[in-house]
Parts: sequence; C-alpha cells; structure tokens
Amino acid sequence: MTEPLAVRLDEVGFSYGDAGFRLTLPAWQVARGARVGVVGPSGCGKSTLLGLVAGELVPDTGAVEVAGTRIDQLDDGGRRAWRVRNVGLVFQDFPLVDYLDAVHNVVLPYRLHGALRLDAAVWDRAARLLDELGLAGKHGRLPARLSQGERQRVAIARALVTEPSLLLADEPTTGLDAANADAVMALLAQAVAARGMTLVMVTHDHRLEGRFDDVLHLSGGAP
Amino acid sequence: MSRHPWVLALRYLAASPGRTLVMVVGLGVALFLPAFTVVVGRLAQDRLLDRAEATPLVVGHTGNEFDLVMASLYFHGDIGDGLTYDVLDALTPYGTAVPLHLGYTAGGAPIVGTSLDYFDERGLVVAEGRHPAVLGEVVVGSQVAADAHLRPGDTLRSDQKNLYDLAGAYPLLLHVVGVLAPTGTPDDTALFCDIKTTWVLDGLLHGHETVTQRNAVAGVDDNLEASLGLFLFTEITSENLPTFHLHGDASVWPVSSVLVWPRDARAHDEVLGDLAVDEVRQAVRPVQVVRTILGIVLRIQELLASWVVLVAVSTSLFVGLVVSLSLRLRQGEITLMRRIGASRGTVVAMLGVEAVLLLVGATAVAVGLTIAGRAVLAAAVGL
Repeated sequence: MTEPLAVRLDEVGFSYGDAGFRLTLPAWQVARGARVGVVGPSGCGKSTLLGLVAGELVPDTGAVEVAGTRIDQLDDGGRRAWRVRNVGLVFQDFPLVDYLDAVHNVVLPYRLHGALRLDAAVWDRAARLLDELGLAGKHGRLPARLSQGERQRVAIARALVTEPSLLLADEPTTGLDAANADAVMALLAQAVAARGMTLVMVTHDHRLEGRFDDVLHLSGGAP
Repeated sequence: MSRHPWVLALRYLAASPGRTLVMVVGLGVALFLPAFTVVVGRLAQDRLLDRAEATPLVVGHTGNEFDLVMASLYFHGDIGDGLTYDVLDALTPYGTAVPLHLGYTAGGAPIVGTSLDYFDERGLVVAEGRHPAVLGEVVVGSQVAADAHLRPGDTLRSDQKNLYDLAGAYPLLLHVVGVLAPTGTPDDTALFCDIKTTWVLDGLLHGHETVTQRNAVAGVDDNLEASLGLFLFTEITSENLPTFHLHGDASVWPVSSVLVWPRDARAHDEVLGDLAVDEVRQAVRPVQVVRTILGIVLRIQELLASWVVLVAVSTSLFVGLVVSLSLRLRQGEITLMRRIGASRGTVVAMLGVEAVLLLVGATAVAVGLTIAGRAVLAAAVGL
C-alpha cells in the first residue's frame, strides 16, 4: 500500500519574471504527519518553495499536489479558498494585526474569507487554543501588551484555528536566540503532533535539523 | 456585504481614538467651510427675497432705490425724511399705505414709527402685552426683548442721535407695552411705535411745562413767548400727555418711506405709473431691487465657488496623501491579511468601510458645526 502524501511536487520550475532566479525541483514528496525542514542559504528559494506549496505562487511548469488536490490547476480564488481550509501559515516575526486583541487575531482568517464561517464553535476553539498555548486570561489583550513570546503563540494559534492538515512555517526562528528558537520549535512540533498535522518549516538554522523527520537541502535554486 | 469588514474597520478606528478624532474633525472642518458658506448664502438670499416678495411696493424720495429698500424692509441705513405725511392721501386710494419713519434707535435697535396696519400686513402678533396706543409706547421685536430682557412694563430710552446737537431733541423714555412673537425677519430686531412718537423724537411734537409770565421772555396773558430754558418733557406720562402738541400742519411732517400693498394688480401698476414721472417721489418693487442685489451677490458667490473648488482639490490631495501614507504604514497588516486568505476585494472593502465611517463622522461634524454656526449667526445678526 502506498504511503499517503501530504505534499507532492513533480518537475516543478518557477521563476520571478526577469529577475534571473529560477527554482527547479525534479521531485519532492512529504508524507502525511511528517515534520520536514527546508534548509539552505539566503536566496536559495526556501520561501518560494513554501509559497508554491501554500498555493500563493503558481509554478511555470510541473505539478503541485497538496492533500490530494492539484493546486497548480486552480484559479486564484480557488487556490485562496483551498488554502484557508487546508493550510496554516506561520510567518517570520509572527506578525499580528495590532488593533485586534489576541482572540480576534486568532479568528482573523474567518473574517477574511467567505469560505470560513465564524460561529460559536470557532470562538470556543480559539479560546481553547490560547489557553493551551499558555495565554489564559490574556485573550483580550492587544499585541502591544503582549510579550514577544506571547505574540508568537497567538500567531501559532491563528495558524491552527482553521484545523488545517498542513502547517507551513517560514523561518519562524529567525532573529531568536537559541533558547527561544528551541521553544518555538518545540511549540510547533507539539502542536502538529497533537493534531496529526504535517509540518513543513523553512529555516536556515542547521541546529534544528535534528528536530525534523526529513530535511530538504536547497542551494542556489535546486535541491 | 459581510459584516466582517465593518467589524475590522470599527476596531481599527476604535483602537486609536485620538487619530480617528483628528481625521474626523479635520475632514469635518474641510467639509463644513464650503457647505456652511453655501447654506448661509442661500439662507440669506431666501430671507432677503421672502421679505421683498412680501412687500409689493415701497415709495420713497427719489434717489438710490437700494438704500430705500434696505432701509424700509430691513431697517439698514438711514435714508432721511424725504416724504411728507400727506403722501398717504395720494397712496391710500390704491390700497393699504403704511408710513415708516426711521432713523432713531434705542439700545442700538432701530425704532420704527409706523401705523397699526404694519402689524396686520406683516402678520406680526403681539405675544405678550398689547399694541402701542398712546405716545411714548413701543412694542419690541422678540430678539430685542431677549437681548435686553425687556417685558411689558419696562422702559428704555432712545439713543441720542447726535451728542453735540444741543438744540436737538433729547432722548425719550419709551414705555414697553408689548413683545412681538418671533418671525425670523428683521422685525425681530426692531422696536415699533406710532409714527407720532417718532415725531416726538424729532422734537416736532413736544410737551413742556406751562408758559407763564414767570418763564416767558415776552408777551402778555395767552400770547407769551417762551424762554429757551423752558423744561421739555423727556418722558410721556398720563399727567403730561395733554401738554404734548405740535406746531404747524401735520400733513407736511416727515415720513421716511411708505410701504404699499395695492388692492389689486391694476392699482399696483397705477402707483408705479403715477410715480414714474414724479420728480420728488419714486415707487420701487423691492423684489426687483433685491434680485438685482442678489445677482451681484451670486456673481461673487460664483467666484467664491471657484475658490471652494480649489480648496476642495487641495483638500482631496491632502486626504489622498494621508490615505497613501496610512496604506504604506499598514502595508504589513494588508500583506498579512492577503496571505491568510483575504482577497483584494476584501481588503478594499475593509478600507472602504473605514473611509465611509470617517466620512459619516466628518459629515456629522460638518452638520453639527453648520447648526452651531447657524445658531451663532442667528444670535449675532438674526440670520
């Protein structure tokens, strides 16, 4: 029996117009429930690869299949609707909307896309996530009144609230010291393990390679 | 439209009340200034025109018809006493002729000497007290009453017309017997009395102590020549009222102008025709005069309107710059929203709702300022 795949890229080629950069991936697969790291130097295409998997970018050639869907064949609206249902995104610096309190930041995806319905169950889930991540009693705080660590956890809760099958993290440990980087990594690993999710995390921190089931090394636009 | 853009927009605006307030007030003032100019301009025009349309004809001395209309309808300016009282004999056959004797003030408010017909033709109602019945009595307009806290039974003295005219008439103590209901017209800002009372102000009709051998300078018995030191009454009371008298023929006593309400269209045209060839008197249609004035005002307003357009353009550029800088500052937030599911339309809707809410707030500020400005104008100039 074939192992179910979370991500399958086949003969993918992508370039940013005339910028000269070109990412080429003959074949890359991520098993469901796996924790995969994407490492490599700056400018090698790590974030581009994440964009292709998230459906934010469309390959010039090849196929991108995520959770059984050929997302490269969907139109813009279709990819966005697919993304909000299936992918959780964690960004570098953990950006939050500064005029929304913690719990409103968590449910933000539900306010931005009609494919998601904000109901009582979502509010309960958001509150539970914040509690699980150690933010009990701080649901109503604006980001300015949260510590850096608390902000990171709100951003992670936002990525998890839609119950996606795939969590994509784009260099979430950049700029953090070793202790904090380890803490973020542990938080993400714990979250995906508890939910049976797949994690694809871009990092240039080779120290973290041991925390992944598999690591994709990119260098100069090709693995 | 989903409620979510509204929620996000409201939360954005509520998160920084100071910033929101500055934007709302700034935009509100920018909207208020041109809007207020237009509103007040139209209001002033309507008021001028309403008054003119309610007054078919004004008869006065030949000369500047603008001055005649402004003085006779709006009590602005001094046109002197160009007519004599017998002009009424010539005009009464054509309809209701109401004399006006102007030029005096009390507490800064114009005193209008007229007849009781004025109240009927203007639809003035005495809200408190009664009409003036004897010499020295006045009814006051609602604004005058409010400003000077006057009620029936109170008194006020007419203003000295010329401080250095020692031989002239002295200020007269006027008895307030009534207060008019407000009308929103210049009548609110004036005092009304019988025309004979204004002749007392002229000194033409006067009362004084009895001339006897003691204070006479010449003559005998009932043909005495009074001394200049004879005491003239400056208040009319029931005791001294019988002593008031006039010297000469009342038919030649002064009248500033006459308001005429002709009984029909033919009478209207006849008055105009009769006075068209008169070298001393003229009849003018106030509505025509006011429209000429408004024509000039309108041209000035058009000029101002072009400036308002310039102000609007510069304000728009300013607002555009603020919005552009604001969007630049919020680029991170917008990028985040786009990446976690917002379409371009959703972001535009959210920013659009913010703009609508700011505009609604600014409009409310502009309307509030306009209402307040109207109240200030009403209190200041009765507009």
